[in-house]
Amino acid sequence: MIALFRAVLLLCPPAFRREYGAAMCDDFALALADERTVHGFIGALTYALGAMWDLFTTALREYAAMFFRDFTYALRALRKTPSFTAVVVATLALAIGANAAVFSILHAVVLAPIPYADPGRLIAMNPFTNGRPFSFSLPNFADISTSLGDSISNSAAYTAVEAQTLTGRGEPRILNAIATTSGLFDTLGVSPELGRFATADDAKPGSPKTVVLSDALWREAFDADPHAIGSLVRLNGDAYRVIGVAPPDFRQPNVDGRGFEPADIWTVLPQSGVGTQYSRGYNTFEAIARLRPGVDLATANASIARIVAELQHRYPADDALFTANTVSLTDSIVGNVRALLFALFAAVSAVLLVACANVANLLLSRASSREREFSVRVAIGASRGRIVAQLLVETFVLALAGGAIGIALAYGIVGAFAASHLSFIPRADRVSVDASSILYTFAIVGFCTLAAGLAPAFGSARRDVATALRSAGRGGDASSGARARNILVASEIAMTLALVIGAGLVVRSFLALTAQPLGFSAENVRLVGPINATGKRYESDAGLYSYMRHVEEAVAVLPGVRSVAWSYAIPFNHRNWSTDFTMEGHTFAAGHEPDANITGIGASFFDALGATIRQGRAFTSDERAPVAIVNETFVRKFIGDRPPIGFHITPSVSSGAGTPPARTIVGVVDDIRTSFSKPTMPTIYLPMADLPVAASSLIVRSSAGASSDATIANAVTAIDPLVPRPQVIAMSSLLAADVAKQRLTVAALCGLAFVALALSIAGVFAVVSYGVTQRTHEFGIRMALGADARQIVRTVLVGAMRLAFLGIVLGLFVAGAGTRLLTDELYDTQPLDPLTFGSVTALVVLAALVAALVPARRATQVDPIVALRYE
Amino acid sequence: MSATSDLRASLPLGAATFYILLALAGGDRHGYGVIKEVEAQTAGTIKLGPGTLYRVIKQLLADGWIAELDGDAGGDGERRRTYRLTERGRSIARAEAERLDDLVAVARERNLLPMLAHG
Repeated sequence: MIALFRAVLLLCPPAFRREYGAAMCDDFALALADERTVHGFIGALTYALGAMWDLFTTALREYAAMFFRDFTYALRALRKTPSFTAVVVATLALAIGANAAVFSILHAVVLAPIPYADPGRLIAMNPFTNGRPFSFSLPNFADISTSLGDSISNSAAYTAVEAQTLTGRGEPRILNAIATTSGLFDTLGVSPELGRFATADDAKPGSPKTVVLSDALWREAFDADPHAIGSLVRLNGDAYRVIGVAPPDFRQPNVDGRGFEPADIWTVLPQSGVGTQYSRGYNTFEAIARLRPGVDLATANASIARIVAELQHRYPADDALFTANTVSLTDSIVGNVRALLFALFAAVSAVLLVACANVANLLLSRASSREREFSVRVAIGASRGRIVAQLLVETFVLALAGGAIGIALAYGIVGAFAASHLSFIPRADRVSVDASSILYTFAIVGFCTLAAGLAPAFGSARRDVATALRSAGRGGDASSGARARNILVASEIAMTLALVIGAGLVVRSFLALTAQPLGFSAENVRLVGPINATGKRYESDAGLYSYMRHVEEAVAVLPGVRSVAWSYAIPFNHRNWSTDFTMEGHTFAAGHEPDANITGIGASFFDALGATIRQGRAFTSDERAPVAIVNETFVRKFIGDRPPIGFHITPSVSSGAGTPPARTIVGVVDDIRTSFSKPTMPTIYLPMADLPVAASSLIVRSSAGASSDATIANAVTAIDPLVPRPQVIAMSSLLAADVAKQRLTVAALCGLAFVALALSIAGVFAVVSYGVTQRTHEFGIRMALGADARQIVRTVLVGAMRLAFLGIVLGLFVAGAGTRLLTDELYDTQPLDPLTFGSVTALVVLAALVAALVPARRATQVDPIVALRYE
Repeated sequence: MSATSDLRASLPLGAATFYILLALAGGDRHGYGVIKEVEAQTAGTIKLGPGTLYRVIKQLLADGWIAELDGDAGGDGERRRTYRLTERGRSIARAEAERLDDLVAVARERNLLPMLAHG
């Protein structure tokens, strides 16, 4: 029992234990013996347990009291040196704030589970054609789902149906609609907020049409009225009955690399039907499934491979090139940004290390100027441990203040991030500084305390009292702290070099990406649409085309408008339509026809975009002949050296139900890029007059500042007020959105690299300055003995460069390993790009040189008389 | 005057502190003696643990309310450490007792305790 008591005693602060430990043990033994005689064994045991608990809380209270004393002492000490305190707190606040912000983003976007029940069992099924990402047809999806029955418990296929117009609830509005098989919500494990979700019964052919509303649409268009359930709504003129409302936080998954899909309304796909929608060649659906408990991806993939082989064999016309696999839904949703955010996290952590090194450096210098204070405290009986503890508490106070300001900073950064609508980052709007961010910040504060505080604290406490007291007047000895300082600065330079190299690589990649020729000019071009004309009047091609011509003419006469044209696909709008085709002089095995992007365009399309027609001509106004224009990639890939003009191709599209006609190529146009990062596809342009496509958009080129966006939208709605008001977007903002991810990477990495570089320059400056001050005496003697200023400068600079060299060698290794994280983010730039590595290294050496030059020059101004006076 | 207000600032005392001051008010004692005395004062309901005892003793010594006697009161070597109430400690204990007495008087007025026969 006494041994146990002694063990608990070990928890007490050593000073307290030394002073009273023996007395406490004696008293405990006496009291225990006493209890046993009076109250027996149980009484003694009760007392012993009580006394041990009492001792335990005593230990805690003693430590708390010590901490509180050190804390107030630290506050007093730091208040005496306000500029030092401000510099350190600002450095830490910047680094901690950036870390807390990046952690918050990483946590909310990548680490937090996707918002579905048991997300670990959810998978995305990825189809491919000829190895390229593709979509499912409903029959392929149905066959695969059925055969996977042993592996999956639920599955669903869905597609975003563009341009669905809701009428009858206020202004007509364009909705993001999802057409889905009935199992979508069940597969995701989501329950309705109101009403119910569609069941297999709702999907039976002939069942009444039903829709589920998003919470937002229910609030906006139905004023959150519970009686909305059961009411009828009109979508593109057809009546649907509202059966349920999805929960407010529900998000439609998008397995196409965009994370989540905006969705206002869900319609049910009937299980079977006759339209093209049900044909095996109509590939437009994405698919998800839920694995049965205990089934892993490998098993599901093995089964899928078997079924796909069977489909290829059984339906060669449609499925000859079809393959599919599965990945976890989480990977599918956040995989796109995971690497980027982890790279940013690594970068921001490196900045934290640089900041800690800098602060450690400042603390070391501060400690050496306080040697006298510590010597006195040791002389009057303070133990080494007490001085270490007190210095650590001082660092903790600094880190805590930095953390508090850092949290405020993180709130600002995260707020700006969430408000900047970075649509390529899933759930970017949900990012916030939450409990886990605060917890993480506390962890960083603890880390900073140890990383920045341990070396200075132990360094100060180790100093021999007698030596310190003797030399205190001259500012302490140089050797012991100097090595620690040099190592710190070298590692700062290493981290900084790696960061600046990373930033250099992404800048280089960004420049390479955006320097590619567009094939058109984006300046003063606006995109209006999609313009969704629905209803009886527009069901026939003639009716639709006549409306389109009216709109075109109404916009063309607006002031300053130079050129207007319709088009279905718009560059940088990620809206593509592809088709397979045949060519004269070639026969293709069924299912092995080549495919190309295809779009209907108005006569002025190339004019409005400022694209160059290389050969032949543009379409004429209202041209309806079976003609086509192709881009240069198409010619290169399929026509080769033959003259393209007059060549015949047969894309498998036609107006009405007729056989697709053979079309004569009448023009060849320069490649028009549709995205910076994806290669241009072979493209076929068809005259809009021949094949009018609903929900197309207008391209409008005007003189700068002419006709506002609102004027253009008004001109469109004036033709038919039942058509929802279209969006007007500058082409330049579409271009910017296309590289939003790269732009964010560049901005974040450059910002972090800049901070690290600034900190490192300050670090080199501080350490060289300190070294010069320490060696004032030596320099004085050397000057007195006839050394000239240049020799002194050289001595100082050589010392600084030795430091920088160590840091650079280390940094090149760190960079070599670290830039791997960026591999997927780099375009046309190698992770080990020698130009970037070389120029950045030169830059860092130069920065270190400049930082060392100022104190080096000061060394030459030492007055030998003053320096020697101390002797 | 200022001495009184200084005393007031220290009140109320923690329970363990007051018990220990009371125990020492009856004469010098070593640690275990204090534990026994507190137990006797409280009719056996409070038996201080050594941890609390020495934590408070350390504080009382630092504040100068008690003093450690030089030399050895017991017979078994230097471990027996004996403590004595200082004048200052006595004043503090008295001030605390008066404060409690005032409260007890209020309690009697409110009929929480029987009135004393000769108040």
